[in-house]
Amino acid sequence: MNRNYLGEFEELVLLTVAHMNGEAYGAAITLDIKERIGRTVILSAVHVALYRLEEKGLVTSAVGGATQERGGRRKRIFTITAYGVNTLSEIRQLREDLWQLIPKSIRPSAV
Amino acid sequence: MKHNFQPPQWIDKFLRWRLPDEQFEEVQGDMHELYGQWLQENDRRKANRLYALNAFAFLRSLPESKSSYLQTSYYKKTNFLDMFSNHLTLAFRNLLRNKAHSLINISGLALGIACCLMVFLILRYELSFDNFHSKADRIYRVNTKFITTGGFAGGAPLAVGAALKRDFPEIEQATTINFAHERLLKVNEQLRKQKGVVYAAPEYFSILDAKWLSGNPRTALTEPNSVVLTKTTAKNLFGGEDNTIAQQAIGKTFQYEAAHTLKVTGVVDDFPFNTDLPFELFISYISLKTHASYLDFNDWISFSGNYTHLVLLKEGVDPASLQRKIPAFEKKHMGDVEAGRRTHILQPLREMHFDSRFGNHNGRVVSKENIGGLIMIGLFILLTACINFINLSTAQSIKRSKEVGVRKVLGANRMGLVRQFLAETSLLTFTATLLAVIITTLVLPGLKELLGLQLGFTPFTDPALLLFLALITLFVSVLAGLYPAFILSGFQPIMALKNKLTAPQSSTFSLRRSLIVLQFTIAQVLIICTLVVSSQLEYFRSKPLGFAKDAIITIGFPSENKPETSRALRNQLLQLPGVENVSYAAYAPSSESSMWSTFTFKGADPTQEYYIQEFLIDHTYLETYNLTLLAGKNLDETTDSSKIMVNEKLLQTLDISNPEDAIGYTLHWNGQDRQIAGVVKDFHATSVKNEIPSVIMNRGKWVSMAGIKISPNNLRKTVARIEELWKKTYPNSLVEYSFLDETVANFYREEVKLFKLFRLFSAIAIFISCLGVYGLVSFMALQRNREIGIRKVLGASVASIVMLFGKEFIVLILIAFSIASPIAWYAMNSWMEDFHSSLPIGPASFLTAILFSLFIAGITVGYRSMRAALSNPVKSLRSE
Repeated sequence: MNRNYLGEFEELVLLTVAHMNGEAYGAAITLDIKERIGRTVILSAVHVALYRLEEKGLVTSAVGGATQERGGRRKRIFTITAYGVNTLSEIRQLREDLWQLIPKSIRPSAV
Repeated sequence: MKHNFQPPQWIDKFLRWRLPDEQFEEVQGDMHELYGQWLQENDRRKANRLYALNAFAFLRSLPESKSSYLQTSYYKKTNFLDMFSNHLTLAFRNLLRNKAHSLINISGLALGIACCLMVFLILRYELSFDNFHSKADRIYRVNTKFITTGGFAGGAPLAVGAALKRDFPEIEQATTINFAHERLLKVNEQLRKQKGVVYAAPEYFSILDAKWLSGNPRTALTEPNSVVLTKTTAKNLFGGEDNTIAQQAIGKTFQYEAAHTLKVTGVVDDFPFNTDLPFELFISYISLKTHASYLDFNDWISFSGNYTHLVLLKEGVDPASLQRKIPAFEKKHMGDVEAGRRTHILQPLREMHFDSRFGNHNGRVVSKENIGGLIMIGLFILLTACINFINLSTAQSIKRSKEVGVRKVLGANRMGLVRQFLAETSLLTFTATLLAVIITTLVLPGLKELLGLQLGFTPFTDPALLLFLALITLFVSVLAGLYPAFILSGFQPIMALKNKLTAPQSSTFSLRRSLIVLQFTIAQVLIICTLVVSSQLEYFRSKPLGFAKDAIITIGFPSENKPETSRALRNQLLQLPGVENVSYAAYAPSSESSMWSTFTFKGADPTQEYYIQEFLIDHTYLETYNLTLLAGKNLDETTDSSKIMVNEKLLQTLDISNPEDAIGYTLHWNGQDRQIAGVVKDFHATSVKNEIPSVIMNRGKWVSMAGIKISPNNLRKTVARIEELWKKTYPNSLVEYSFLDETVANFYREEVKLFKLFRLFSAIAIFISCLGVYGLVSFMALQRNREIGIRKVLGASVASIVMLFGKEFIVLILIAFSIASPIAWYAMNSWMEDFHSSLPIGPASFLTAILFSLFIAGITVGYRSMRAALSNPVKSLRSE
């Protein structure tokens, strides 16, 4: 299957979009990543990742929801597409398969 | 505290410069949001630094702007189509919300469009006649004008065609045909009648188009007794398959009129039905020399409508200039006297279908006036339907004033609103057009039968028809939709939103009233016309013809009939039970055919010609047809040919007022002096609408038909007996009889068609008008719901409430009537102008029309207002 290659950061952003479920936009994603993973990311990096994902058809976007904090400017809300969900689960399956190949002796007990 | 700080403006300016417009808003929003967050966590300097860092990170190249990013809904520019789909959605919702009004509008429009569609089909059919000939615009037919009487006739003497070709270099080709109508053939010992028989020369096919399936166009008609058939005729005569018959038929022979053997030398494809030269069997012209040896091909005087000369002009020749040279040509050939009496007129081939002065070989002429009238009726009915639409939409406008107000406040411009309302109209019209196509499909078979036309209707494969449908949809949308659209879009938003707009009151708003007046004017004109045509027809049918037409059958003698045979037959016929009388003559008092000639008398004006219709009769003629003898005596079996009978009309020419005085008077006719032996009361030889001609009756041997008066009891049995006897007497011919009353009725078939068409169209017009009135009244009832409630509570009676609505419509219908009656009177007067005898247009038709309109409108208004008046006032008053 001709799956899109996803970079580590792109995967991170896609997962964030997926879990934020309709609330995902540039600033929110930046803050969420900072909060959950503790990684400081640059806004433009998030934007670029989002556009790439959209280009690949993994997310779609629509404009709406101006709020006070933004001085009335509208947000671009990203949502994950069915194709995006498939891609994520494929990546996960692949990882799972690789995990299973690790010898029991050295496999971290947590998984 | 956190919101007191604004991020550094210069960085925003940088972003503005760096980012494409479509991303700037979004990115800046994100940045500001983050800045707020940073301010909460850090001091202002740190936040500013982070802000700058993040902003400058956008220096990196962004993904190509071609990405789907640009195609998402927000950044796409709205275009016409977006608005259009929005308009359509709204239109659908509105249609569904006002089901009753949509139904009225759509059905009214559908009926109107269906009428137009039918008119279009009829017109296209009539206008298509003989347009398939490639040289049609250069082909002319030669007809005759009688200068002395101002009369016209189709055809010209036999010598004319060839002489024209000889004398005028402008003429590329000329040919003469002799139409022989129906003839008797005998194929393989089988007798059959063949219609569309014509004598034609090879040149015929170099002027007119035909597709030759076999045989040589140049030589097929050069030999005597050679014949060219159309494919269907060949199949009918010889049988065989479609694709082989053309070859098989060549060389076959058959008997013609029991006297000649014809040989097939060619087969042409069938001609389309839209031709006024509907020939099926071409006999070589040269055969006339033996088939009709009495014909004089150098005759310049006498002719029949069957002699048709066709000339093909060279390219670029002006027919008018050729026409101007014809009088000189006639002087040269006919001599001054004859040339002063008649002249020949070139008639364009395609005018043959429309000029009733000359007739054609199809037996059906459609006058340009009738076609114009048809177009008018179609358009007027469409207009009526459009008026419904306009009235209902403007009446309903109040319902939508809020919508318009809100739209305007939100920034809709007027043109946008106009477009929206036009889109709604278009949707409605489109639905109506589809419905009209369905209606037409259902109605067309009946219409074809009614009019006797071969109308084709293939709505989905016919480009001209599709174009017409598209145009009519567009036309109706604009005609019906434009005015309401401008009214609706013109509301002042504040007034509309404050509910200050009230329904335009009828007293102040006169457009709607004038439209109703117009509608009813159209409907009433049609009703009056229908009634007048119907009373005229009734008059034609019931006016005494001057002879008896009931229970008389006419049978033509075969051409080989000998006087001895028919003399013997007469006695046998008279012995049959049920036969009351038998008369042999050239034709019955009323007949499709007629013979004409001229006579002179002492004291006649030498510059004049006196035309009479000849009746070749026998001694039982008057008795059989119940003609009245006014003076003198009947021509009996012993009377010789110097004695004649005349009718009253001829006495006018002779200036004799008392029939008795005419007996013994001598006039000169057919190269002989004749004495008037009897005077017959005038009778109608053709349609009552024609003038009664002067008539001379004389006895002769060469009769061509028998008129048999039979008793009305056991009619069928008697006819069967006559048929049997006839077959026995003339084994070599087919018996074809017709009833005289049917022949007479046939004179009025065009009027009957007109009547049926009028009846149909006026029914549709009045129906559409009533739909409109119903819609309007129900709207008014809704509008004045509370008023009615209050009136009822205060004691108004049902009748007074019904009158509240009815009053206005009665006035409008009366106004419409006062406009409609002069129009109808004028139209009908010009219709009857060509009738010699007609019923004066009496007040009865007008009275009936107005009463009928009032009645129909009364029912419509009454029904709806009754419902309003009978409703419980509590309901209407509580509803607010």
